[in-house]
Amino acid sequence: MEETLNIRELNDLIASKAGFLSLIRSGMDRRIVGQKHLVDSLLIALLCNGHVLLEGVPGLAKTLAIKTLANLVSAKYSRVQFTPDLLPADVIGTLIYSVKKETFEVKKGPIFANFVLADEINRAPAKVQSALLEAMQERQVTIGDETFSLPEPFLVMATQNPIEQEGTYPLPEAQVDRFLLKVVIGYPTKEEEKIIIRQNIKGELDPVKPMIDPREILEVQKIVEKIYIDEKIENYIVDIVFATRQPAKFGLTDLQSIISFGASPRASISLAKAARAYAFLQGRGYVIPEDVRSVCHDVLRHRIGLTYEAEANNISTDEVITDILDKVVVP
Amino acid sequence: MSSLKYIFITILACLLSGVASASPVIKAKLDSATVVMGSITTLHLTVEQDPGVKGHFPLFKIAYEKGYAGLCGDSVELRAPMKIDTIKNNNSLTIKYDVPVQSFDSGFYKLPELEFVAGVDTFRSNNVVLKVLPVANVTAETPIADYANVADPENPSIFDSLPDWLINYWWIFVIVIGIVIASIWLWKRYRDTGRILPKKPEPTPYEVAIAGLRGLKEKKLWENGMEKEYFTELTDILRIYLYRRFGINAMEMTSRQILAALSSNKETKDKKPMIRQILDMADFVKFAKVRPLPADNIKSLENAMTFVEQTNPLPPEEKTGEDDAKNGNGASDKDAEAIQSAVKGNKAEKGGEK
Repeated sequence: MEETLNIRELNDLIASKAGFLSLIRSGMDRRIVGQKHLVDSLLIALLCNGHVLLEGVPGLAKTLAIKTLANLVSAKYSRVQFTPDLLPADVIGTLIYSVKKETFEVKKGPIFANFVLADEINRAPAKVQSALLEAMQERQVTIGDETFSLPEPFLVMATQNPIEQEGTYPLPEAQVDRFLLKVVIGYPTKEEEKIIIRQNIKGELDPVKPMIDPREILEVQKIVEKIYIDEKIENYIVDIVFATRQPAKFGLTDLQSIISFGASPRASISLAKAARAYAFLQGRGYVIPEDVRSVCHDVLRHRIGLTYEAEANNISTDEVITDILDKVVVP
Repeated sequence: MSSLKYIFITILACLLSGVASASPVIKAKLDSATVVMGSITTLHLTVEQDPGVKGHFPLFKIAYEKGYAGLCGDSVELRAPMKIDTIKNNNSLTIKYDVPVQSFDSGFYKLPELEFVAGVDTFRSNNVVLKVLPVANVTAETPIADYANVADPENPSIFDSLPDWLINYWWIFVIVIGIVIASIWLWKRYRDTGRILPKKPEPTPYEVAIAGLRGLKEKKLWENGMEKEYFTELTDILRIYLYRRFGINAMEMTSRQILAALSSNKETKDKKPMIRQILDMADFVKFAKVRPLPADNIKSLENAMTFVEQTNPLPPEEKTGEDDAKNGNGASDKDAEAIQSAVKGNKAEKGGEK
């Protein structure tokens, strides 16, 4: 088989970074039982320079996962517990008057970290959410007259609790769209839960030693950007996204009354980026339709609006995405 | 005194006016006061008047316009035309009108006074009475004057017993019966076959796939540097075959999903490696800019051919023939031989392609 040089080189390059992936995975496995999908989603977001919105009931190791990842990468980690009385300055920082120096000094907020856990993001009012999401998008923060770049790599993992909706401020569609992935975490299996008990009752957990330099992540991000996406895959992505906007054109007339608004062009971009990162996780230098399908639910879940009719019939966006994937022709 | 003078003057004026002009006298008389319903009798009208008087019967004008003029609530009709005769006397004129009278309602009628209008004056005839007898009194046996009774036909035909409407409009009944029969026939055909027009036999998945693969070979795509198009078409042919033959929605599935679906099918489980080789190679070529070696291209097509051949089910008729052959049926032995030769022919053809 003759292969064009760049793909072969890329495959070799990816293979050389397999150690990086196995280090992260084994480190995560030591602390987190199960939740493979959560770990993979965090890695995809990290490789794509994106952010993750996590939805799951409390106690599913959401905080532990991002904390472990931060420890493994020897990166700065911070956690912000979102509450109704939180102010934007509590997240991004503010100017504080120094009596000694007789001037205003910048006090940077917890957002100045490589890995930020925005816990229960929907508990804070819109202006705080907006400040965080703007920083996520721009990757810089302006305090007073001075603009500060956020450290790299920069990953925000925001969590939402799906069962407590009272006293919350649901994220607007325009802001939720800025998360690369929305991951829904489920309960562990019986076997996994038994291991969790054993790990936690024996005392202190094994400490996680930093094994990866943040600069290495930036290198890998550059490799991921080089992963080849064929025009056929681009067409496939566009077809999927267009099927969320005009389902009838793809033979999905039933979905016409269920979808109130389809995915945005940002969804197409995110789908391509996430598929590329997934291909990297599989050790491939090119994207295949399997990669697109694998990340499709997480990428599109929070980008499709459903009508009241759909809600009345208990139809979820996941079901809609599955229907679309089953109808769009794979290249 | 004065009252006597008035009476005298009035009598004198009346006498003088009678001398000046006599009033027309109208007399009416019927030919027969009793008639059978529908028959005609004549009303004789005689008008005696001064020669200078000009008058007419308004009723006659209606009779001439409509053909008749109704009397007694249209039960009695004065019919046109009527005969008119004028006789001149010394100082007077006699005009005779003979008016046909007919009635279709039995009963006793007193005809009204007929008005004669002369200038501004109106004069009236006397009344006449007419009795109309009902037709029920006339039976089929009642002989009609000058006419013989209706005789039965000498050689009666079957058509004589049919009603006239059937004889006159038989062709309408023939058309209606024809439409009904055609509709029933078409309905039965639709019920049995699900369609009215004869169904063209659809090519089997096997035929479509084999024709597609042969066509692909003839196109010489990879020989002309179009490996991507070659593998796109090859996988499309295979995926359509999988859908039509096994009901696997391969067109909407990724390679991994297709292989998983093949694993769960008993018939295709052991043939999965062939498909895996094709799909893996196709993914490389289609999505990784890989240029395969000619041997890979040929192997992929051969694997596709072999897979289609090996998964081609025998037609049901042939299967029945085989079963009959097993049962020792002589006629079915011939069928079994024919099947074997057909299968050999297919294999030989495949070998030739190799």
